[in-house]
Amino acid sequence: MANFSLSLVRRITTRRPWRFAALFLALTALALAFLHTPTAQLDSPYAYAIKDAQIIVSAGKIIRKGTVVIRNGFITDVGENIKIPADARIIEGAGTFVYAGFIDGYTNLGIPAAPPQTPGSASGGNRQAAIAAAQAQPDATHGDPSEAAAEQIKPGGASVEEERSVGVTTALTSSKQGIFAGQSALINLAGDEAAKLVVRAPVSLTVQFSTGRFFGGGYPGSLMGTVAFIRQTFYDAIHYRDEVERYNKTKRGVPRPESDKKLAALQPALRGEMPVFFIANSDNDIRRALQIADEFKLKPIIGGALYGYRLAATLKAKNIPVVLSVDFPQRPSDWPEDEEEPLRVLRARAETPKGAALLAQAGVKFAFTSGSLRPADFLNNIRRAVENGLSKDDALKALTSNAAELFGVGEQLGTIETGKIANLVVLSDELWARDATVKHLFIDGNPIELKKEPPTPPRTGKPGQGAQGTKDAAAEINALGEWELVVKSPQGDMAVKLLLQKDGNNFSGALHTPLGDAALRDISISGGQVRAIASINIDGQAIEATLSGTIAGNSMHGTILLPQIGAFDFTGSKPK
Amino acid sequence: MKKVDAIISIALALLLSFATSAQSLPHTATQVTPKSNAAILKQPLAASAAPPTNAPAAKELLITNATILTASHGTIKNGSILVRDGKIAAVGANLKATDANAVVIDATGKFITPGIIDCHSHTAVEGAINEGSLSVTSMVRIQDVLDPYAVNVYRELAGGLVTCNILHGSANSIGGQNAVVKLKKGKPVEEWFIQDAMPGIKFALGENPKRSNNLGANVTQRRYPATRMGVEETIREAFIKAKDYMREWQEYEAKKANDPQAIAPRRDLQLDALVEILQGKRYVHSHCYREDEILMLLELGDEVGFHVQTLQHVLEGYKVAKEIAAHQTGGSTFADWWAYKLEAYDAIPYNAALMTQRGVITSINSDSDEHARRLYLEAAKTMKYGGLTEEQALRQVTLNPAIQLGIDKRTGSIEVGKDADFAIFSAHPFSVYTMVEMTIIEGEVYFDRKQDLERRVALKKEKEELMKKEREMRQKGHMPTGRPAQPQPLPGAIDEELLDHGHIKPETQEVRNDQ
Repeated sequence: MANFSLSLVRRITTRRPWRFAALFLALTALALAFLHTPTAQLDSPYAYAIKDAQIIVSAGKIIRKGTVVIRNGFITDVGENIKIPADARIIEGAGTFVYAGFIDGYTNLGIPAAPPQTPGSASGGNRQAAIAAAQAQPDATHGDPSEAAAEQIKPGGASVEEERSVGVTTALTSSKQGIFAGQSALINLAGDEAAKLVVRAPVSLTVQFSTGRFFGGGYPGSLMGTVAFIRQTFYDAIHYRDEVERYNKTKRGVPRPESDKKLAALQPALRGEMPVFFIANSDNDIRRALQIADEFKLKPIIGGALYGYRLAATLKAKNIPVVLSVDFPQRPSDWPEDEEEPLRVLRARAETPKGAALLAQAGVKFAFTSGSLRPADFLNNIRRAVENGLSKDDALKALTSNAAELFGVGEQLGTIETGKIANLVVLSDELWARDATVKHLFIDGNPIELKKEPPTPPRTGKPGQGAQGTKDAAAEINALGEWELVVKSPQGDMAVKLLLQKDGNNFSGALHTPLGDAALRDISISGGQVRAIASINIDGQAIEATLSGTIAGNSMHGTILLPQIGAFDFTGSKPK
Repeated sequence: MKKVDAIISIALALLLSFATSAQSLPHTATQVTPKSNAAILKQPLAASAAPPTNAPAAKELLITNATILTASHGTIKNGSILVRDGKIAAVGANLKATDANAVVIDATGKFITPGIIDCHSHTAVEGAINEGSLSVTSMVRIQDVLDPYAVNVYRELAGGLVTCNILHGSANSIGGQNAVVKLKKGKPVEEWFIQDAMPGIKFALGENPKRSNNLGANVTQRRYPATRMGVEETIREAFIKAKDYMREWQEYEAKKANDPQAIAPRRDLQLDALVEILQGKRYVHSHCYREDEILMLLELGDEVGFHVQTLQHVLEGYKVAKEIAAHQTGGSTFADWWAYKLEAYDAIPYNAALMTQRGVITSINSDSDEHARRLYLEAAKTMKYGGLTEEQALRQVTLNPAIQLGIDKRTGSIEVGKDADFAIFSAHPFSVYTMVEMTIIEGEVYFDRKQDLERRVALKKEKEELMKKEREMRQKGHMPTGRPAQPQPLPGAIDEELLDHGHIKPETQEVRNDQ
């Protein structure tokens, strides 16, 4: 029943989004009224009251000591002197702080990884096969604008739990495969059925300048090729529109257009109805995105925008919203204390946390995205943005109401108001306190059991420190040998062998991948950290891959970084 | 590793020096003396985040007492140049500014040349310079991937370089669209493009396009073409397609007024660029070495109906200079750089001079971020090899490339009405002891050696302070360092010339970016 209603709602939504809110409320309430009768749900009451808490209704509107009542998934009452219904389970809120559930403005949560790429040993035949496979699946590079995240979502999983553990209740999620990575969905981060998670879909069309490609051939293989590919695809969509229109108007004697679901999926974006979510962190990428948006009269959202503050005036003038990454550049964890770094790098690290404040000052509307940050760092870095000049109200708006409005659900989410979806976070302290913890979390009115904070992994020693000498020697011996690693690429997992040796005082090594072998250079092994550089040939261009791994016993995890392509995590072990 | 980092740091310091002090320090260069206190040079900001200054520029700039190498009409001793609104207003002796706020640069003992022009550059490109996946990539554009933060741009400014023809690489028979820019570091990149420069495109012949088809040592599947014959056929076929496409559009334009069912043909960005070539709206800049392939392309152009604007590298151009001149095609070559591969063996340092003497408009280019910093010395070599005159030699890196790029109406020589693009040298630009002291683009100073040296102190201090602040943050635990190192990209990490000179092992790089 509820399932049916919701899918009906979604179908209606795509055509008449303005009616969605009302319909959603009516139908969901109806469905819930049938399903959740008090007698059937004795263990799980459907009404809650959070009592005597400080309630942050919305940015700047605070009830010092009040109560929020939620029932059947909605906020039914909020205020200072509220009569608590007799059947509501009471949550003592004294000393706590209630916020509207936080919204993460861009994630890949719940989207399963692509099927694995042919793994195998590093022989020529396999490399050829892998390239052929990559060419046979152009979607891996080109993406598919008709792919709907809402239909791919798998509920649950550790990353969803971790995201919730800091108070994020809602997230925009999108596939990240290919240049046209498909249509995103706004989901609530609880529930067993994918269809029930979706708050709104489709929200936007994800477009990225990185092909997300790991190895293998095919056009486009460069940044400028990617720009040309995006432009050509929109021109193709325009031609498709013209052909279909002509056919619909004059059915006789007119060639019937070939049905093309990808070009059809681009039409709402071309009409300016569906925003195009460009993933663009550098101001160069943002400039590219804005040019494409101008050329095709698209409605852009800039996602990432780490360096967007450099274009704050332009973004404001064009009234372009931003989903701002707080994944600020970091000093590498494995660098010695006295490591010399270029001023440009130091400046970027000092400037980027000020970016949010600069955007707010310019009047750019933005939400936040965690990027590749761990959820705990997501909130901590928002706190850093506040320490760097962003007002608390602006920060809270970005985390709640701005995001809700940007994704078209301002009526349902983003503040603690009667009739809104009961996504609530109860914190032990103000959001801005670094040690604030989540006491309670409600998603769609249901209390969520919180995952315990994972213990922080012990900090590894810095290389080149005398006292670490013997430890380092042991770690070094442990690192040598043959490792079997699995690299997570957008095309799926790839099996890679890493060989580390020591000849006299020098390290040597090699990387064996399905697409070829590469010798390692600049190898450093110290304090459980491995770093090395391999020249990998991709499409006839040598790419300097930097491998950084952390060893714990017999296992290793880390990242392979390919400039211009991306960073790919790996895990692995050393077979005995 | 450490050493490399240190070098990069110094280079970056050099670069960034411009940015900080442009805001904080008054203009202190001794040779610049504003006529009144109110006049402060409109300073471009260099590297980073700061938006360009909006301070109104002094309307006039007067450079006095210099030896002016005009590149068009000889050398003027003790000459002055008056600049108004970014253009050269007057050149001669004893000029006076009309604006009381004019900036005056006393250039006694200095030499001034037109801003240097490089007809073959790959500088400031973000990502790969080759879209190497296809043999015809006329849809890709350098203009989409210019990186205004590239460190090399400042280094090139320090070598008097003002204008660059930034080309796609040479992996494909028909490569991508080039961009002709002035290195206005600190300005939004949109302002770099020379708007009235003719659009262009890169072609490539010979070894590069025929060997770029190899996906790796173990792969037998290859990209067409694999021979010189195939390169010719690839270009011919592309133009046949382009002509069909052009006809399709012409038919549509003819019938759209009367036929309600007519819809525009599918716009094809790849063929659009080729149609522009056929219509004479886009220049062909073709990479080439051997005389046979040079003649092949010229004849193919005659057959298909396109003009070759410049032949790039063209190391055997001296053998077919008459034919090149007859096609009104330019030659852009190296001064004395060859033998880095088989097709570059039959080269001689007299190439530029011999082509010039046969009536070919010839230029000397860099194809390298490193050579680009001292193109004036490359030009000087044509006096030794082939006996060009001083002015002919200077034109190799000024007026001639301007003609080749179709921008000689606005730049390339010191003449009234042209853009005020200059390099000011400490000594004669062909002396090995010379240094560029100032680089001026459209009347604005983009490089000032004296200021640069002074700013290094402030930059050093800024760096120390930033490092100190970070250390404190780290101690407080407010600066997560969760991930391992991301390598700092080396500026121009893979220098094409290093590859072809064998400094990098060939197996690590199968496709040369260029040459």
